[in-house]
Amino acid sequence: MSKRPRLDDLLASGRLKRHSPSPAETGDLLALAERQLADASAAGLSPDGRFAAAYSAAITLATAIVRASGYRIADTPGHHRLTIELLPVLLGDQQRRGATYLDACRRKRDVAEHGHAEAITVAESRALGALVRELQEEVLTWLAEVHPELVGAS
Amino acid sequence: MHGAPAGGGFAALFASPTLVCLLRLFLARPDSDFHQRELAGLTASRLVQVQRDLLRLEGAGLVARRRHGNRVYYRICSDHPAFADLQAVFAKTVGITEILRVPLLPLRDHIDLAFVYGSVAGGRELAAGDVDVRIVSGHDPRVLATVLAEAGEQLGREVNVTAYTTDELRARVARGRPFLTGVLDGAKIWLLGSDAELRALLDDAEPARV
Repeated sequence: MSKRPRLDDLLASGRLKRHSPSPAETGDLLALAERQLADASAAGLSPDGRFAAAYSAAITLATAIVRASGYRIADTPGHHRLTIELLPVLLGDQQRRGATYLDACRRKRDVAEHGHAEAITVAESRALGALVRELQEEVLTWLAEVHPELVGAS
Repeated sequence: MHGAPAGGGFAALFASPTLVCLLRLFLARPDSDFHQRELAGLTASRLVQVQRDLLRLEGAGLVARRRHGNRVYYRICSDHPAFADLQAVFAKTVGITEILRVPLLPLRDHIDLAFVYGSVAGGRELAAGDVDVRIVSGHDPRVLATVLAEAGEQLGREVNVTAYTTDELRARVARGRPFLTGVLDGAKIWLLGSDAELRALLDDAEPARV
């Protein structure tokens, strides 16, 4: 995580668009993240497979935060990276180190997807799974507190 | 490049901490030109100190200035006879490896081995690109990857970490994974541990060490 992006700058440059969130969209994203997390702990999966599923769940959760906040990331190169960088901006600074780790995982996944064998270890796939489960808790709490209208928690 | 350079005793050999930071920067980015204010910012040093140390470096023939428009730019003289040697010395002392080693020291108790491998370790590439680190450790990979990513920010480099437990490393080596075997046999810069410790760890029949 290098520089903290500013929402105004991102809107001005077109990398971020305004978006109208809905309970249906939020519900869909949360359900998707839950399925991806379940995949991440499915029996018989390799560390690489678990890691990829956990990473996808993290991106889905982060996307849910971005959308609930009224933004959508333009489909440009680097949108995963931006999704991760926005986590501490939208959820708060306590997410900063988590986002740094998630960004390291993004690069790792790129390496693994480019046919680099042995890129992901069992310990790493477990660690990412644990991080994403924590993130899921935080996201659910945040939604209930900040956007109860989107999760039917009001 | 933050304030005081890492490298402990070695850095103290130089006339000023700024001089160490300047050399580290110039040697790590031999294809880049820098102007004085930029150097002051990148080394977190006062401009007057940067100017003083640039004079020393110019006097030693290590750095040359060139004028472009109304600005003066500085660059390392990569044709200096000691350039490659200095680059290697810095890499081993106050350069990349030392910056990566420092954040691991508080975690030392549960780290068996940590090394840089790939192009950086082979000495083929010091200027740009990712730095690859492998760690054998009982720590949560999250902690390791996070502290090393933060250290990488100081260098303007992305650090990719692969973290093994002792058992997993042994199991993978036992299965004869060719890529891993290549890494273990290839050039390394040790952050923590040594070749002898790696051999001992792999030869050790007892799987419970962490």
